[in-house]
Amino acid sequence: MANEAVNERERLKWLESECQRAKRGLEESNRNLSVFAHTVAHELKEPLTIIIGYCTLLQESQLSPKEIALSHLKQVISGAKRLNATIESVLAISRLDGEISDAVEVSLDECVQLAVDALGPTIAGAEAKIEVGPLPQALGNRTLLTQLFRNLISNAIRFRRDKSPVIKVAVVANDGPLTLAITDNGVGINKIHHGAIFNYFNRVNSSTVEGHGLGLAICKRIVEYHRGRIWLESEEGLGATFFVELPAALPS
Amino acid sequence: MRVLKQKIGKYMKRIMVVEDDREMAALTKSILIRNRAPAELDVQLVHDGEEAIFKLSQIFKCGSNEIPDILLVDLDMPGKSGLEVIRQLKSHKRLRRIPIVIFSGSQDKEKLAHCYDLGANSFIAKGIRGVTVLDHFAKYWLETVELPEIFQ
Repeated sequence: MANEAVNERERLKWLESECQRAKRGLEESNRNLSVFAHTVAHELKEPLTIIIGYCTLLQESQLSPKEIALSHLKQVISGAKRLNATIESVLAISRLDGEISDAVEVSLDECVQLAVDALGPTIAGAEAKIEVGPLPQALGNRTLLTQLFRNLISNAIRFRRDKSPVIKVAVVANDGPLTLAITDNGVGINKIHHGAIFNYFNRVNSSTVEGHGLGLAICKRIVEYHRGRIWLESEEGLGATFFVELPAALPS
Repeated sequence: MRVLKQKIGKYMKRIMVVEDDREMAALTKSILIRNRAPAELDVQLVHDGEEAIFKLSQIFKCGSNEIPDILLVDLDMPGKSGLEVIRQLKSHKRLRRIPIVIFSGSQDKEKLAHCYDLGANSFIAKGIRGVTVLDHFAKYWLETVELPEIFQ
C-alpha cells in the first residue's frame, strides 16, 4: 500500500515536470511566432510604403509629366513584385510545418539539374560555372530539395566577386548521414554573421545585393523538415561552403 | 559667395538623405523635389552611414559650398547605423551645426530619446502618410527655418 502511494507521488511529480517542459516549449514557440509576425509585418510595410508613396505622387501630379509618371509607375510595379516575393516565401515557410512524413527516394543529381535549369538566365548572366559531382540518392521531397539547391546556388551567384563565379556541389560524407557541400568562390561571409544568417529577414548586405532575406531561412526550414542540419564555413573574401546533412534513413 | 546668396534670401538648399533602402531613397527624393524648381533644392542620396560621414568630411575639407544644409537620416542601416552618424557628426566642431532629422520606421522610444541626447534635431516617422509628412518637413525646414551657415 505504502509502495503504491510512493509510486503515485513519483508519477505526479513526473507529470508535473512534463507539464512544465511543455509550457516552456509553448512559451518559446509563442515568442518566436511573435518575433516572426513582427518581422513579416515590417517587411510587408516597407514596399507598401513605397507603393502608396508613388501612387500619391501619381495622383497629385495628375500623371504629368508623362515620363516622370511612367517612372513612378515602374517603381510601383517593382514594389508590388517585392511584396509578392515576400508573401510567396512566407507561405513557403508556413507550409513546411513539422517534419516530413512522405519521404521517397530522390536523385540529388536530378534535383541539382532542375535547380540549375530554373536558374538558367541568372547563371548565364553571371557567366557562372556549376560543377556537380556525382551525387547519390537521398530520402526526401524532390520539390523541396530542388528548392534548397536553387536557393543555395542563387545565393552563391548573388554574392559573387567581380570574376565569374564557380559553384561546386559535392558529397563529403556518405557513411551514415549524407553530407553535401555547396562551395563558392564569392565574397565570403564574416564570422560575426554566421550565427544569425539563417534567421528570417537577415540580410548581411542589404544595401548592395538584392534579396528579401528569406532564402537561407527557407533552406534551414527545408533541411529541418528532412530532420537534417545546415551550417556554413566561410571567411570574408574567401568564398563560402554551405554544408547540408541529411539523415541516412527517414521514418516512412 | 554663400553669404551673398543668403542675403538675397533664396539660394539653392541642399539636403542629404542617408537611407540604405535604395527604393525608399528614390521615393524620398521624388517627394522632396516635386513642385520645386531644380535651382531651389538639391537632393543628394547616400546609402550607408560610412558613405555619409566620408562624403561630408570630404566636402568639408575642400571648403566646398556643396555642404548640405540639412540631413535626413535613417536609423536602421547595416554597417554604420544612423545613431553612429548622429554621434560622429554632432561631435565634429563644425559639422555639428548641420541640423539632423531622423527619418525612420522605428517606434523605439528609447532609441529616439538616445538620438535626441546625441543632438538630433527632429524626427519624421516613415509610413504610408510619407508624402504629406515629407511635404511638411520640406516646407518647415527648407522654407521657414533659417539654416546655419557652417563656414561663417
